[in-house]
Amino acid sequence: MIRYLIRRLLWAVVLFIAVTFVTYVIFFLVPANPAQAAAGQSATPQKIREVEEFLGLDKPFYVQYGKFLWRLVTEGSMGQSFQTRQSVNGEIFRAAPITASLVFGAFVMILSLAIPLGIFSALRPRSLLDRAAMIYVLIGISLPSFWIGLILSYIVGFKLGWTPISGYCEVFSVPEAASCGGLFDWAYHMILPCLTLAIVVAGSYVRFVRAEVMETLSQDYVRTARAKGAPEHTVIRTHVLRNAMLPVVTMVGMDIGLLLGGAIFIEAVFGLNGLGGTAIESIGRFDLPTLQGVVIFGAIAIILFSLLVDILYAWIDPRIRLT
Amino acid sequence: MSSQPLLEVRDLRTEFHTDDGIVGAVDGVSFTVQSGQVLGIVGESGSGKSVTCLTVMGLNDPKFARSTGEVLFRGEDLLKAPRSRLRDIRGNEIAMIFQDPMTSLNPVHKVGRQLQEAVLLHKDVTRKQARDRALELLKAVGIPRAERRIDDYPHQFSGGMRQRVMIAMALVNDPDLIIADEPTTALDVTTQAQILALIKRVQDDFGSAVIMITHDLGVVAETADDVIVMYAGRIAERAPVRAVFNEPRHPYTWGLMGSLPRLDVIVDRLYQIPGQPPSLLRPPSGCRFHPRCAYAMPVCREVEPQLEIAAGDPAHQQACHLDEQTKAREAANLVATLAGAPT
Amino acid sequence: MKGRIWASVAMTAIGASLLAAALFAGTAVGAGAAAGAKKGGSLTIVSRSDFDYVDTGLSYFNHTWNMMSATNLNLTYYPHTEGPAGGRLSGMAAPLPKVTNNGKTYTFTIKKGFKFNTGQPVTAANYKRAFDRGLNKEMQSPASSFLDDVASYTAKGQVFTVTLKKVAPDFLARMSMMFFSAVPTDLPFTAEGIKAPVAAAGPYYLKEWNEKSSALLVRNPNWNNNVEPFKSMGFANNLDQVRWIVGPDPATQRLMCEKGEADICSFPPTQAKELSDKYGINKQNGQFFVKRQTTLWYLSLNTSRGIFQNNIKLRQAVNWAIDRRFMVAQHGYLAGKRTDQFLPYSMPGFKEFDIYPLKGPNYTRAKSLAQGNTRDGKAVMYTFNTAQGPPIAQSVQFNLKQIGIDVEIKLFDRVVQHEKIATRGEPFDIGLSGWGMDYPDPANFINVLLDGRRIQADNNVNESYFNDPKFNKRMDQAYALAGQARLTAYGLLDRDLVKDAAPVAPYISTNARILTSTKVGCYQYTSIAGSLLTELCTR
Repeated sequence: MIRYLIRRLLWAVVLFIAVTFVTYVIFFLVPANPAQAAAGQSATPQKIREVEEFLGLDKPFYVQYGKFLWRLVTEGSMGQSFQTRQSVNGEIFRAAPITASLVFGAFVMILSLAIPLGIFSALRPRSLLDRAAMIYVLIGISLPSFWIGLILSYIVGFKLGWTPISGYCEVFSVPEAASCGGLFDWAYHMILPCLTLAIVVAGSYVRFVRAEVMETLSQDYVRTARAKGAPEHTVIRTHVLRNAMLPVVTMVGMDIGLLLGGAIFIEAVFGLNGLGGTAIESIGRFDLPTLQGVVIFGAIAIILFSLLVDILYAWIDPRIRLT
Repeated sequence: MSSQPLLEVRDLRTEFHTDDGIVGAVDGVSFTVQSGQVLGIVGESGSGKSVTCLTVMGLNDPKFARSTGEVLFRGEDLLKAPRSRLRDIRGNEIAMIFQDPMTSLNPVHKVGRQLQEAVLLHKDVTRKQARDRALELLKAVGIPRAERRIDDYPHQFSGGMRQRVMIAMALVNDPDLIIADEPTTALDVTTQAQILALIKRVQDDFGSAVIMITHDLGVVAETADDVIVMYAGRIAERAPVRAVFNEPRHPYTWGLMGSLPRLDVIVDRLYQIPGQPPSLLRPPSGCRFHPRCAYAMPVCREVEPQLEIAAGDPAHQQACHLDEQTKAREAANLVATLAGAPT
Repeated sequence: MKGRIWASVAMTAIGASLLAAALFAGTAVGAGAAAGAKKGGSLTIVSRSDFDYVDTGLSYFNHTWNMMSATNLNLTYYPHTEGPAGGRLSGMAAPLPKVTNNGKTYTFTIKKGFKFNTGQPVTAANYKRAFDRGLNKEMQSPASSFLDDVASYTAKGQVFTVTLKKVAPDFLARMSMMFFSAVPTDLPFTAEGIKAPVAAAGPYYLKEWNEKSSALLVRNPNWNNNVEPFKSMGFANNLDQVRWIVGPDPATQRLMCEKGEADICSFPPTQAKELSDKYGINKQNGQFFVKRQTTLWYLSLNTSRGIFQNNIKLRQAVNWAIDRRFMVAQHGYLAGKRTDQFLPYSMPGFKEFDIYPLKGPNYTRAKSLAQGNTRDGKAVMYTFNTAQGPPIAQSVQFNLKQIGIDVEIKLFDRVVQHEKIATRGEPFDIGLSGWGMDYPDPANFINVLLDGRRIQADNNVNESYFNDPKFNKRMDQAYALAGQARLTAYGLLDRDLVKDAAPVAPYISTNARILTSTKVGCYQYTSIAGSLLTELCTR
């Protein structure tokens, strides 16, 4: 187990370097000068050169990359934003909980919706419920997330007034400037964004769970369980679910990792300044350090979650042993 | 033996309604099993032997399967019983052992837990008591170091051991009837012998009746008291085991016996029954065996043969239009050949 | 517009009498204090992007300066009113200073009585500190670009003295920029900028700034509207608080204002027509406002190479040939006003002349100018690939085809396009350019954008690479003038540049378009300060 973890960690480092390197390369291929943006429109060329020096942009590409890696390893710092000069670490840590709220909240909805729906569809294939579920799946996969978000925001938030239109509320230490705060407000504001993400993602989960459950139902050990006289609900709960959920666990882990990189469209529609919004803004302003920070966070999230998933999988399925 | 049979199946028919049509898997099967008796059901794949027993247990998919007839378990018609009653009986009074031990156990639960489940489903005992019972049974079926192995997972057992576990699971509530559906087919020959010996012992020790489903006459010879030979959803021949082997009276039975390899007799070629088992979607008319029968007569195509008494023994019946003399002669020839005498 | 001067005189007279009446009544003056303006309450402004910094030494964004217009105490300012007084540079913390030493030394005497919200009184040292921070190497402040011509500065008690290296009559206008507001004398030099709460000497101060999330302005307890020196500032200061919500996109912002979740919002430009139909435009107590900005969009004609080099007639032909009406329409409904001049309408010094056609192309005139001057008949236009970029380019392409020039359009990301055009030697002939003022002085347009001596290897803002010694000299001369003479000189310079040299083809002087909720009253906007926070009230 330890050897396995160490191997995975080494791979993570390799992946990490690859990802950050590629980000750097792409950024440098774009012919735009962040120093100009940072210095202001009226800055003299002399001034702009000073700013370049200040930001370290005058050094060659590999020097900048080397410095970035060094600082990351020795200080754990991802540098400072070109645009706001604030620490990127701070920006990421501010934005991450927002995206996390969105992603985890959405997954609570997804799993509570998709798993029962998938199971019922599998138990009663070609019934009305099953067909309705499959239609929903098709719609959910096809509709763009921002469209769903806008529609919900308009109808539910604006026209019906059942939820807020947009915004994010802090749960702890609510600032005075905020127009909302506390656990209830936070949850209330997150309903629509999480629902939007859930609608988009749940579709593929319903299908997936349905397929897995149907497959499991045809297994011999399910027949054995019935032959033992187990009532159907016990058969489902004890024998079908645990086996059917194995691949679902994998998928959830990967998806969470991916989405933590920033559900960009949904964050944009609902005014959530999470990692997605931060990424977009930093691209637009050619703010490499912040962009790099988001990329790094996303990479770490994916790596971490796939590792977690593997460990969880091994825990659930005794046939897998991590060596 | 008590006067009321333990299990009496009367004119059982089971159809499956599929997209392609109706498959008549079991077409008028009747038999009885007495307490403590071992009944062997023999036939090729598709003969309906498994479906018959699944129907008895009520384990067919209710969406597709329709059954008529009577399945009287101690006088109670299981076909008409409510599902809850069937659940009470399954794993409790009637237990089933399946063919493939590799896939018949849930891979993510410990073996002990699966055994416990079998107990707790039917008996109001504590978990500890259920576990003790499970341990007892594991020892009884010959699992070495049962105290340690009770907490192992199925994939940690060999095929033979797994089948022993299945048997233990079937026995855990002292069933009156055990249905064993090809319990040794998936195992190697040595293990096969062990398992059969176990079943025999269990049957002796616990006094349960056994229905042994197999395609292998050899297995039947070892364990059964009575034998039913099924073909294409119908019974071809029914007799006590000795009678089947000494005086087989159905061409299909002859085919089955002739195709048995024997260690002690050298034959030029193994006898094969020509052709394939028929499609039960559109079964042959008349006698279902007639397309493959070397003795087929015109009447065989038109009229379905009924089960009739053979060889003057009421316990021995067969369904074939051939006359008595031909059958007796062919049977004698066959037995002699198999015994090694030159023809 | 003709008659504009008389109109403004009349309005000044009316304004003056109102002022007198109000003074007599003893309450604060300013349109925000118009009859019955409710005191107290709070309004919420929603913005797509956050403040860049709240440190006056670093901040440069328009909406941050808008916030600072309610918190900062500068040496000079432009009064918070939509009337003509709003365009007139006035003394703020100090009366307009004495100018000595042949126009190079400015001596400000800071009025007594102003205090920071922390309680400290405002003295000359606070302005010295602002200068120090602006010039400090560690801070890398954009302010340093605007202090290039400062030779020395001293602070003694209430007297702040600045000596310039050469005469620069726009100096006072520059002092109205937020870089030069009073700051505590111990405000640190920090490249990252200070955070909230920000000590300020204006009527409000920034109590909270939660990055990318929200911000809060509250009253400066040490500002008393009823006495001098505060009273003559003319701020109404009706609101108790102003909040900012950061993040929602324009579509969502519109819904927020209509639902009442926010009070001052933006909206998607495509909804301008619908909103103006629904709410009317600039109505008293209305919700939809369209106000002049001091921003210009224009075509830069590259005079340093190719088809437009030494080719005044062709450049003039371009100005006759383009369809300004169509081009303005591409910016959206009510997005701006057609113009053929380089100074925006709201820039002090702007004078209306009739130079090129505003209603549509005049091909006859254009062709006659172009005749014999089209050279190889090919031109390359750099535009950006979003919003109005592509249709403007296509329009230009079509118009110039009529006079015998084939325009090849090249699309880039805005930042990339800007970067390329700003590089000397880049092979383009026409660029799509825009410029918003830093401070309301015409030199900020003409000298900065058209003085050829400022051209460098890259990061240029003179995107037509125009370098005419005659005009350079006139720019110097105009720059040295002050007061009305300056404005007149620049007004004429604007005309002559566009008419006789035509290095550019201006087409739109933009508007700001704002949506408010039903809660907002007393809404006013100036192109210098933006929405007048000190005049807003609740309804």
